[in-house]
Amino acid sequence: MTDKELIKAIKNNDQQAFKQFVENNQQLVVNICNGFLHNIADAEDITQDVFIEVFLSINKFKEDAKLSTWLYRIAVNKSLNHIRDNKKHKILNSIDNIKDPDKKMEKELPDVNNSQPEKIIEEKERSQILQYSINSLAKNQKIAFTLNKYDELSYKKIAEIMDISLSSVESLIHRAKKNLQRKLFKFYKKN
Amino acid sequence: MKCKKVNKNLIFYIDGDLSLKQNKEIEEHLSHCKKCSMLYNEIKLSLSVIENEKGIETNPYLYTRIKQRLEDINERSTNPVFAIQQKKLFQPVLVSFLIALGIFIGVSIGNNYPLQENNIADTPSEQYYINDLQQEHVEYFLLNNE
Repeated sequence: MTDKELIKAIKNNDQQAFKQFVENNQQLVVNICNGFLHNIADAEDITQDVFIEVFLSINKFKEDAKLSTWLYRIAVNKSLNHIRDNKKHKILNSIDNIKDPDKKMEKELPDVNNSQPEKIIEEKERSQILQYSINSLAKNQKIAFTLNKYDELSYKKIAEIMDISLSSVESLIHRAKKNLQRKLFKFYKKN
Repeated sequence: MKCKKVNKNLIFYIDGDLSLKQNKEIEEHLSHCKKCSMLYNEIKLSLSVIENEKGIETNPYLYTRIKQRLEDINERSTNPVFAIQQKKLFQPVLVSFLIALGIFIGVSIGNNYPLQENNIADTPSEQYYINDLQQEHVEYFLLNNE
């Protein structure tokens, strides 16, 4: 089924076509969301929101545009909005943790059944350092880098999603890598 | 190649973005510089986290959940109470109504309450203020003591 046929079918409330569309794209959307959120449960929730938005606003979509680009753009925006909203939530959570420190400890304890707790803690720490470094990049650098690294999207596809030129994508990814290395270098040099 | 230059290009070396010549130079440097080699390993391990995060299996019930949520949204939009709520009209209307009701109840209670005139003549005699000093002068006590 081509994009045009698929859009037409979804517009006509064809449940089977929508199901097919979800199944074909869910892996990529989850990957995009997880690339930004680094949390599978959150990524799945946002993926649901993304497909719901597609279904609800498909009538506004121009049939000559690329459906996948539109879908990925919604995924990026929803993920970034979730991060923004979560910042407020984190502040409230930190207040809760001050009130109830035992609760905070429970959350942070690693899985005791695992045979290599040290390795798990080390990996978690690495992941946090990387997340922190990626999140501290400029917004456009972060989007371009995440789409390229986590979702393995081509520079051309990223340019379409971000609505910028190919050379801008190249420049953004180059700068993102440079800044990321600087941040990681600083951290590991200190420790 | 010097350490500083190697450190600047480590991420590009790991990603394979450098030319063959640059790759070889960095390789050579890493083989004899322990400090840079350690840093290279740390950065490589950090970036490998990305690879670990990629292989996520999607939830097989994702479509079922989306369908359920769409049905809920559809149900809400057909229900008039939820429809008002969705337009974000319900809350301000309710608040305005409660404020108006409060003012109305306050005014009606105020109108029904009998007015009390604050006239001194109506004050009972036992509540009059008695000035003791006028009746018992200090000089009078002094005279008695003598």
